[in-house]
Amino acid sequence: MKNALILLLGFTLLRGVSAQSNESDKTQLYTTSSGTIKFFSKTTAENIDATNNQVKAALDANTGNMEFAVSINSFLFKKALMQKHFQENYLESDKFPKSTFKGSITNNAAVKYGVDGTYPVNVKGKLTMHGVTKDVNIPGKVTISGKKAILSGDFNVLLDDYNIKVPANNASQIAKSIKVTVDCSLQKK
Amino acid sequence: MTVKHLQIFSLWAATLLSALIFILSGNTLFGDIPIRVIFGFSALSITLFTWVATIFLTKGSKASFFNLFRILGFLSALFNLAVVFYAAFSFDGYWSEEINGIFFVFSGVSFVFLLFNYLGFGNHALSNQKQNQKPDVTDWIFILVIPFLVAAYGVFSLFNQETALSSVGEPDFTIQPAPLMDIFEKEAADANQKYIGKVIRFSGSVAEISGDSSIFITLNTWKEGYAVNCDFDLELKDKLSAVLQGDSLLLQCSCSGLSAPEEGMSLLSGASLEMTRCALITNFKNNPNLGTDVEHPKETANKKRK
Repeated sequence: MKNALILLLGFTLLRGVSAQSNESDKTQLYTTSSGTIKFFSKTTAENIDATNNQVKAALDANTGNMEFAVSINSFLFKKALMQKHFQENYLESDKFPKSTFKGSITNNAAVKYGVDGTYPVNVKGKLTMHGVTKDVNIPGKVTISGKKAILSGDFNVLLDDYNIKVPANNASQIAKSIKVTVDCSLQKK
Repeated sequence: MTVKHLQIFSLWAATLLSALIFILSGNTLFGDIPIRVIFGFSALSITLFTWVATIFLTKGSKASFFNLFRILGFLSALFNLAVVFYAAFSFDGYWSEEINGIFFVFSGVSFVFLLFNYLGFGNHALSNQKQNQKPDVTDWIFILVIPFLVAAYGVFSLFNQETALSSVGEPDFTIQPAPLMDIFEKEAADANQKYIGKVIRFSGSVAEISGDSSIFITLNTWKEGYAVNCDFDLELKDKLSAVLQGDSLLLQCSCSGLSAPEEGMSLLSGASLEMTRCALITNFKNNPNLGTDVEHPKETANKKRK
């Protein structure tokens, strides 16, 4: 009888913990407002790189869904004129102030959010930039470290795909394909 | 060739070059109207006409012709400058600062030297006797090398001007985050035009300090679901080391606009005013009496809630 009671108590406790865990899973959201995205353009004439440290990102560990929002005007360049050109002329930030990504990790089951480690992932979603939305497939990594999920990866963006026109004057200075590097450290909410 | 010829030819060469650069730059100042062609060819025509005329008409070494060409040269250089300034303040469409910067520099150089020449300043220009002599080394340096170096330096500086790490100097606007957010929400297009990229001075209390590749300070706005995200360069780490959560700061940053979740986005929540290249003006620590140059009655009153 005593054993049965202990078993029952144990079962009840386990169910309680499990229920709590499920509840926690439902809200397993990682977020940041200070993620980093860099881009790099390489041409024989000039290499251009820019950094944005104000990337908003959110990842739902339960579903693998993720969202990114990037303010175009928060990209910082080393050279003032480049920054001005990038924001005003190429990305037309007055018309399209933000770039967004909405997608999900296709192999989310492979990521053990409760266990520290680095997990290769594949992210599929829609990238909106300069008013154009395109399907993209990005290989990357999710690194779990305690309550942090660090999302990293890189991919190339073709300027033509997003209707980004570089005037002939500057065509030799800007690559047609820009390398975008993502490095966002998300904190569990 | 005499000093007089050399001076005039070099000045016109600079003007001609600037006109050529302008034409080749591919700028369109008024959308569909190829105004660059009109301005560019006008400048080029005047330049060429005067230059060619100088060569032929100065054979007689008549001082009056030189004066005429100096006046024309002066007007042409003024014309070039007027085009640049007009373009800089009223363009519509793509505008290449580098190319027009070169144009500006060459025009500026030609203007200054034409002015000197016209007024009879510089080197041996005051001496008519010297002007009719063959140029020596100092003449070449004064007339060709110095302007070339000045122009080269101007172009180089223009291309390589580095972005400031922080927004120092006088701000473009002094406005608190809460009213600024309201403006962005109510009149997004106008606000984008007016405030983005401009230096804003404001104050607020620190809600959070984070960031790896930069220093990221989030300020309270006292509006539900709203924050101010301030990005500082890592080089300012020492200056910011004393900043703690709850401190009242007077900051100056470049405004990047209001970032709010878009329709269809369910994971990202809350809106934030994005500020980059921030500079810490004053840290008032826990003193509720923030700087007197910023209007912030609401924030000061609400700060005690925290």
